[in-house]
Amino acid sequence: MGAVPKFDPNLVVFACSHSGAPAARTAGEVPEVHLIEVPCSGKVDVIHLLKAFEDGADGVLVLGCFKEACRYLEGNLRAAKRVGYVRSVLEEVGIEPERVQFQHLAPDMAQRFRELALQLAGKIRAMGPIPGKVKA
Amino acid sequence: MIVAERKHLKEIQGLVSDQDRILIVGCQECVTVCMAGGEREVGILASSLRLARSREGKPVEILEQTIHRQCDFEFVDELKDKVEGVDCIISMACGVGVQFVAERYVDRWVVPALNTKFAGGTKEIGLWEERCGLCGECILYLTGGVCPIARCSKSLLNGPCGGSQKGKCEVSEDIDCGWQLIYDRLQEKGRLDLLFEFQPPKDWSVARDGGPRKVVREDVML
Repeated sequence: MGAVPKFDPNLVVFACSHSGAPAARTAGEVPEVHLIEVPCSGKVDVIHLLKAFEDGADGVLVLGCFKEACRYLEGNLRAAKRVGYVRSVLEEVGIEPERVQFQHLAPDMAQRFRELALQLAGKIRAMGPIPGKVKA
Repeated sequence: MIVAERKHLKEIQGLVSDQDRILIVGCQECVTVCMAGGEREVGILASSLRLARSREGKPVEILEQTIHRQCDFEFVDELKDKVEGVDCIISMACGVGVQFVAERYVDRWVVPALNTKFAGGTKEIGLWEERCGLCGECILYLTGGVCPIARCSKSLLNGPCGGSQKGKCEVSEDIDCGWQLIYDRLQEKGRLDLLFEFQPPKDWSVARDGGPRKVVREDVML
């Protein structure tokens, strides 16, 4: 048997500037994570998540505020719904829907940010890269 | 507006499985409002198809364009430059738009990405309901503004059938009885007398029974 090739997943994290992004900054650099700060998780649309996969992401994490803590009232609820929709699209495409996740976070939860990123990286590593990625 | 719903990705994939250069065309009118075929949905379909095809090891080149209206040659002509570079066009308009595009670009394979559902309106964001049966001879002035063609499952014109139970239609508990709605509305308006007026049989020849229809306005023709 040949050696299993080493696979370092590309993770894209869309983080709300009021919760996920400050937590990520405090946590410091997490290998394999490409952080995109957004004014509110509700700003993240379906196409942004799909484009991330098209552009080479192996997994995508959207971080929004806790329920009822959204500065724009419902942005986090919309983001969670959109992630759900993207999961159904990925399933139709034939890609594991678990590759995209939504999680709630508060700005002082740096340790939790690190845990979430590493957990997703671990899951993706077990799944392997997406076959025939559009871009490497 | 015309309300439509996107086909499943697998079906669309099957329609273009042999095509390597595709133009996806959106429409900024009704299907944008019902979130089925506007610019946003064009992007999502294009991205989904690219992901699916590259997963199959058959990458595809996809162009995207959303025009003001696909049911108007004036705007369909704007696609000309992009059409030249593709083998196939996926129209994300209603059935009317698909036909206008197919009629204009006869040398290209044109396929629909949507299922055209009905003439209706937005009840709330994410919920659209049928309201008009497109019968060609409106009788809403007799029924308090509730269309018996569209809202009665049997399109009855002379009151409810025996399947009307507690205001609901026997077809489904999710469907209000159209004639109960008409009765309630007329009662509310104090116009139940309208129901006692003699009505001659409806002329269905001006509906689909008369074949494909046209509206002609010679005064605006050049």
